[in-house]
Amino acid sequence: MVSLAPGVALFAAFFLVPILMVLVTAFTDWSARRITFVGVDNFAAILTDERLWRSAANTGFYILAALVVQVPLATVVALVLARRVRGWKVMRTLLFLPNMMSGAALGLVYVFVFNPRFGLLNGLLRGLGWNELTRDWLFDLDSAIWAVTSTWVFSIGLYVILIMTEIQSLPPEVFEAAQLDGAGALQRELRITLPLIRPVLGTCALLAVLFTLSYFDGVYVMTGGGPGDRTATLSLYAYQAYTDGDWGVANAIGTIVLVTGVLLILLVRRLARLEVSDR
Amino acid sequence: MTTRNAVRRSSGASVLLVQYLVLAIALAAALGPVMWTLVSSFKADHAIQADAFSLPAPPPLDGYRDASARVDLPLHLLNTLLFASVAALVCPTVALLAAYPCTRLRFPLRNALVLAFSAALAIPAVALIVPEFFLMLRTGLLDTKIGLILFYSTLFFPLAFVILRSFLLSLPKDVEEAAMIDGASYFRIVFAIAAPMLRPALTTIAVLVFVGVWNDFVWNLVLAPGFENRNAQVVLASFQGQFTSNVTALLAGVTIVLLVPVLIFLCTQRYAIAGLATGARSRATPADR
Repeated sequence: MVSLAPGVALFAAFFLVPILMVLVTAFTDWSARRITFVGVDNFAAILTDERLWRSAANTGFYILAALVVQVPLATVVALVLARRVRGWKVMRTLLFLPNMMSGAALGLVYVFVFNPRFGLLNGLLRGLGWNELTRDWLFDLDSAIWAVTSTWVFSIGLYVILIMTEIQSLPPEVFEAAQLDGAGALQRELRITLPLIRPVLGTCALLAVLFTLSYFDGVYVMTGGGPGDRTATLSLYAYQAYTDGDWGVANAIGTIVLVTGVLLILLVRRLARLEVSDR
Repeated sequence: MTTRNAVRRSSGASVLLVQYLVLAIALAAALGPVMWTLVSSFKADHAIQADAFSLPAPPPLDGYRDASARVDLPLHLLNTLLFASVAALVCPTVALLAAYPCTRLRFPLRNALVLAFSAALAIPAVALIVPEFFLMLRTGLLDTKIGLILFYSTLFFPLAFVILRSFLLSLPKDVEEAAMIDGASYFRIVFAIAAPMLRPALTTIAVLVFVGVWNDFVWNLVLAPGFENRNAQVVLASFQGQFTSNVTALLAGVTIVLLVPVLIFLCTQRYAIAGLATGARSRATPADR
């Protein structure tokens, strides 16, 4: 029991106390020197700041992209790989590699992929003779958020591994029975596999929400939230309040992020019925 | 009969084609840009700027040389390596010391502790920037190696705790109980009996922590405001503007930062893939066990 001490001490210092501080100081005017209680002023200020709404809308867009594109794409790929097509192990490893890579360094990669002058994408478009499609992808008001999203939405490796593990642990009898009943391949996946792997799909959705809710590195590196806050996230908004020295405001945004996180997680768990998971 | 088989076979072939098409597109989208960066990092700056698709021509290592000269990349890579490797040792150790009693012993507040540690997994830690900065500042740990190491070791403590606990729950207690009857000390049981049985889990955690700390950006940005303790990607990102005339150097630095965790994963994937599944599952339903 004594051995608990280092874990408890570190946890208290870097998790418990900071969380309590965020929740309390969200109601103060705090800079490095002074701290005064101001009630809900910070919340009143940010709720009327259109940057909050733009960052929240963008964060919502990213979460939606993760749920509507990333996880379904991972599901399709996992269904294919789980049939043990030739080379599935290598594919699984290759698809996972982006998950092991630094988001900031990948951001720098995409700064050059989307570079208007010598970037990979515009180079490709010019090579195909589609000059009119070339643009400054990351800083064009219309394309910025799509370009930013495209940098991570294909990173499906983690979800593929999780879903595959689940599919491969299903009892083979289910599929044999379906085959005897004359179910086609597609029908089998839709009617039998998908419902059976619902818990792991819920897990993936939950991880996707958690990751995108705190999305920071890539946006910071690629666009800094621009152009005109078109790609900014809630965590970037909080970070900017912190660098501006408005610590109380930063923590009010932090509180909103924490509360949103808890609510979204409860919602996803509810929808995927994770709490009655039949593992 | 034959026609039916032929039809079935051709539909099988088209299904196969679609399957490989899906895989090829997913793979190209996920890794294409990285491959391009890897190739470009061996090209001269003017060659990159002139033609995105040209192949490297000698001398290929100019970028790597310039990256070292311009932002002292070796120093910052060493910082990154130090933070990642020490945290990868400290975190699993601290987590084992906490997960063992929380699984095997009974004591007051045990369930509350388990719940708190596990629930922390669901916290978007980026919301805690201000207090982390403030506490580090007040304790004199801001911008010190020891402060960063302590922080990084704790950042992944909840994940390590949850993974270890779920592995421990699935292990039999017989050996430990026998050792206890033989009079083995508590720490001997933890380190000489439990730890070897948990080796796959401990390895997975070490890899996850190493990769997580190696890839950290925001915390190094906030907790190492000086120059000395910056990690490689913060340096590369903050000096982005200085590389406009030398893209090769930046891409060379980026390539190193990207490839180290990849190599570590490839060497350990036998353990890592199994551990990942457990980790993610317990992350989604931390309080259920």
